[in-house]
Amino acid sequence: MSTRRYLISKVLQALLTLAFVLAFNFFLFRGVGDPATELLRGHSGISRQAVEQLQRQLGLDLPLPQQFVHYVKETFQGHLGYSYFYNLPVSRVIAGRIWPTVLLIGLSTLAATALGIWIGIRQGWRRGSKYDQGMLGFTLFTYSMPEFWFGMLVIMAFAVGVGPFPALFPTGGYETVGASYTGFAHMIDVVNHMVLPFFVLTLAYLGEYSLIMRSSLLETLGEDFIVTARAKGVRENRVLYGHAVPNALLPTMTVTILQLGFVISGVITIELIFNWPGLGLLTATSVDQRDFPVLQGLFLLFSASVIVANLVADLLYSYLDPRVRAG
Amino acid sequence: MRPQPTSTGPVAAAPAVHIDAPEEPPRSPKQIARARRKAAAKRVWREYRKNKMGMAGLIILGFFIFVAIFAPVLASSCGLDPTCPSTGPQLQPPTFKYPLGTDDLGRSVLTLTIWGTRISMIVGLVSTAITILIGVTIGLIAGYYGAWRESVLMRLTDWFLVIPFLPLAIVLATLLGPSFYTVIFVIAITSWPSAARVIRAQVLSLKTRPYVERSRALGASDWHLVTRHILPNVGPLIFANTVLTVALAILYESTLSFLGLGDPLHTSWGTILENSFGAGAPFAGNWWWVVPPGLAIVLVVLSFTMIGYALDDILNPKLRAR
Amino acid sequence: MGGTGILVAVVMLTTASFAGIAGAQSATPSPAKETQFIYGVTAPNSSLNPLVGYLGIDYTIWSLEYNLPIEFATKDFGADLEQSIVTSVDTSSDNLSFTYHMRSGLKWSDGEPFTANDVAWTLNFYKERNISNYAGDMSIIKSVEATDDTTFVINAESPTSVLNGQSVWMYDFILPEHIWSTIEEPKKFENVPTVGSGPWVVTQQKPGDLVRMERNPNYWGTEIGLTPHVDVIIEKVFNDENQMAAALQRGEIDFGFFDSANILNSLSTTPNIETHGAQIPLFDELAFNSGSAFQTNKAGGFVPHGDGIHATSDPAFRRAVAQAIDKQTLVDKVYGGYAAVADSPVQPGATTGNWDPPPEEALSFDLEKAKADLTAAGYTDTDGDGTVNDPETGENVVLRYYTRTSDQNTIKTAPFVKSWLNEIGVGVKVAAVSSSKLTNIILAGDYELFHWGWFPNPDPNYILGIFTCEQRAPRPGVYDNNDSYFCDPAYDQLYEQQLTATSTEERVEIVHQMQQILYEQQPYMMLAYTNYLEAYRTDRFTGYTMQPEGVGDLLATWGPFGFLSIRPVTGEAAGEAKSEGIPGWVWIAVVVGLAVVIAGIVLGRRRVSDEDRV
Repeated sequence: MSTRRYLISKVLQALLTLAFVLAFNFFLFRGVGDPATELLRGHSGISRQAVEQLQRQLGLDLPLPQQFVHYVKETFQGHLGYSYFYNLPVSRVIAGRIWPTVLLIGLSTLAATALGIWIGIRQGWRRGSKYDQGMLGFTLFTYSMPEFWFGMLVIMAFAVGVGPFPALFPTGGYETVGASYTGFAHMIDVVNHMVLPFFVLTLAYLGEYSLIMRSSLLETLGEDFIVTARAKGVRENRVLYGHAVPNALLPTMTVTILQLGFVISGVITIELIFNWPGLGLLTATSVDQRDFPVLQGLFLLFSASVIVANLVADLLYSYLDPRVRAG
Repeated sequence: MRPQPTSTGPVAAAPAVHIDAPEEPPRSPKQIARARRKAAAKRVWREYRKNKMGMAGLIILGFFIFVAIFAPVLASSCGLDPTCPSTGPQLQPPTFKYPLGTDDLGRSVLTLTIWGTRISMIVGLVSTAITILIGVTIGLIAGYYGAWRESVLMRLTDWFLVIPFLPLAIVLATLLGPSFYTVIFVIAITSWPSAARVIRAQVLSLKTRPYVERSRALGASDWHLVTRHILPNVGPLIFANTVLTVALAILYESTLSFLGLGDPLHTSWGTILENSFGAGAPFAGNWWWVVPPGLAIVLVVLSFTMIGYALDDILNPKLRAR
Repeated sequence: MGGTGILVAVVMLTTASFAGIAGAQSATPSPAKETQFIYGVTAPNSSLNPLVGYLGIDYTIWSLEYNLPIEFATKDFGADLEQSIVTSVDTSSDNLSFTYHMRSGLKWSDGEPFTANDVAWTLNFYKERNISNYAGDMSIIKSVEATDDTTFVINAESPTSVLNGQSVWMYDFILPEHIWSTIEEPKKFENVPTVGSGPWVVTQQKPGDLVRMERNPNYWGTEIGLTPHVDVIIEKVFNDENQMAAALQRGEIDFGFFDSANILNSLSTTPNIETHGAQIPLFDELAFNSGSAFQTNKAGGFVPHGDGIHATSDPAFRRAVAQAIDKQTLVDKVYGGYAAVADSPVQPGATTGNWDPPPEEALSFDLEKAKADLTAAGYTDTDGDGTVNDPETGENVVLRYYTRTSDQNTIKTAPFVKSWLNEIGVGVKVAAVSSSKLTNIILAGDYELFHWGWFPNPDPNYILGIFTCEQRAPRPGVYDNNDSYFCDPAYDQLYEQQLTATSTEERVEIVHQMQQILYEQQPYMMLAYTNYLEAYRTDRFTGYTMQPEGVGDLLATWGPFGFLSIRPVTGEAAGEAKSEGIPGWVWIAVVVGLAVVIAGIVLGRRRVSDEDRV
């Protein structure tokens, strides 16, 4: 199959998946029940008339198929609907939250991947050694811990300062409220606020990446071409970094990209604990507020990101490993 | 959030064991197969015993299973009820009487943690069972029959994989209402795609094995092939996979409970953490209310993971040390 | 090797330049010349548009930006005609039209004149559009006309006393006509920046994150001595209380509204921080199903529905059970002491004043008496299994009792209530559900007991109204307010009468009678008036005034007076926020150090490879 045909087929598959996601999205949230009553509960002026009025306003009295068609049309125009809770366009509510999440996820994934790969390589290369076993224990521990629990411990240790621990960092938020920092000072302020969640996320995902890299490397080292290389007299270091690692790296990198869906999941609890004003926090609060248009928009955004990431991983894999294209 | 354990590549089936049978009356094929399987299991166990990681995991798990079963003996269930006379002063650090301190209603954290073992483990195990059931069924059908069945099922699987776990889980759990049945259902629904994928990959690699093709040439039915050849060979790896899935399920349950989607009237480690966080334990420095349930989760998940990886190490020949 | 060297050089150069910039800029942030007051809340605003938003924190902001016709006095929620835009009210002899006299020379924040025309336009607008926040108030108002710049006349639907200016009836914010009448879809108007008449107006909003308010340069109040001592007010949203408490401790915020008694208690031991449990109308109740399955009164289109058991429709049963609830214990153990035992849905500080049940009728906590009353009402354990039986059906009396997952207090209360009820022989099945699920259950009538609450207005009209027959949900799935399905025609009649009573005293009397009925009938077992949990720094601002006097909310969120009374502690620099964390230069050092280490590893590896020959 030529590269172009492969590319096109992959893109088409991605679009099909997107279509499924759209439909799933819509029906998932419509199956909920009546948002009008939920929205108004506790509202001081609530009455039957108010609820009926709101239902009409939200278009909830139209038949379901019609609502779906309307939904698809609007989505393609970039209108993600109107937030029930904030009474603002969903895109406006979501837009301001994207950057903090991207910053947090981006940096921690980078750090976790880099560290994880480095640790995994050294482990795989010296399998059974003290380093391997020690790191294995460490990474297994971090892999097994709930990231929000670790977040709570970190808050207690480094933000509140329990026992012997010093209170070094703010407990949460993106920046100091009410301060008017600019430029470098602002960047440092954000960095200070980001340190703890970044630390928690990095440690939480580090384990997974190192384990994958380790087992990937071990598998590669069992391959024939490694034996051949050694027999040919290639230096050990060269065997490792020139032959084994590149081949082991490939599945690791693609797996890393595919983890995006799970990184998104992990970031929700972390943003919640650290009050980090990103998409994860928005997801958690929108669920509380039953703000379905925003949730729909977020779902779409998350799923689309994962689809794109998968596509990128597929293409990357096929570009770097010609064997796959034939399959 | 943790993903499903990823397959480390196409996997060879466990090689058939050649038994040098002493002079004995001829046995039926079933008996031969059973003996072969028993010997294989013994071999695996022998290998397993040598694996330090695996043994450590088994011991830890054993401890928690013991705690789960004997919870009523270890700590009176009255201690879960704030009106019980055994409750002490609120938010006390550990003392002799309350070795892990008390929560904001005066209940002993040790009692809570002990009782939390049951629900956390049961939810983890049950949801995994359902996940694997669905995953094996779908993976088998897709891998074995191939063609349109495979396309449809794998397409469906991929679609589900695209939707990020936690947002979907939160929304489903919110719709269905907070209870542990919901949590089980949600975990199963969001986890089966990974299991199905892994199993299909393994079935695929087995399908082309010579003995399978030979059996088919000899006229074996699909059912025979699946139950006699495919399943037993895929079995051990599914088992390793299952063990790892339980680990994840327990983590997922703790996360969902932490977010308030479990049943707040019952105690699981996740709900203890939910309560402690909601009551401001980290801020007030009530570390005794935070550390034990989380540590318990870590240890149990760790034990399952270590067992799973040990099994994987043993059963996956490519990972064996040279 | 050369490549690596270049890389290292680039890294070091970059960090060096950072250090340079750091030296230039990181000294101190530009000092703010304004006084800034920052308060924290635990939930985001729903909307800053007064037609649409509905949360208490939204009202807080509107009460700073807009005026009510007559403001609530700080002391006791009475009519404060001395500090309102309205100075006096004349009532016609037939009690049908009310002439309001306004101050002159009022301005909006954009400089436009604020006249009676704005008031008339706003009230008519609310009425025409049936804006739900104000629909209750508008029900008695037929129309409003401005007769000149400082006078407007309200025509009532029927004779009444509520508009006579002796109490605050209109909890309705007056909007600038010249802005709102030009907007095509008023409900979609974000209303930021706001044009208002209050001491501050909103200038910026980050949805779900913060709201910024700045002084209104044209605020009329300065003429009568209402001068703000704060230039900028920021409302910061924390989605987690722990975060907010820590921010208060760090001095990042000056004031916080909390939900958890535990957090408040640990804050109270922190130096420079004061805590306060403010008495506000908020209350919690255990509500019965007074008979959705059995009632025949058809008001509001009601059709009997649901499968609630017979016992809870029996007032004698309800009264007996009410005596098995130890409200004081709940206040102490569940609400951490930050609540007061409640007896009526109309709070003591309401505009109609306090009402207490006559002592001989009081339903105090007394398990023995509760058991005796149950027996007297016919509920005895006829089959000896420990649970009393319903005299009409013979079945065991078991109550389905719902708590809400979004409110920890309901979860914590349940085991206590269950234990007490079991002691008097009433069976209980507790379940925790989401608020929306519970709403559906209530509308379907499939329950016996649940734990919820309301936040009434200072005027009791609204909260009294939810007990009318008309407000029962008529069928499953159709919303209405009367979630205990209470229905008593005599009560309904009194409700009409209090609205149309022609003297305030008469009205108060009728309201008290209604409270009496609710007490005798116990559709709600009132639990507690829960406090606003407030904590603030004492080293930043001072002058906090409570509304009502001595016991209430410190920021007096029913009007601007609370915020108007706070001022910076003298000697303190203009409330500048302190940032926390590691200073910039340390970060530079760390980055440089890391770069050096990485460079070392990269270089080292290359060298090793030379030696590592097979």
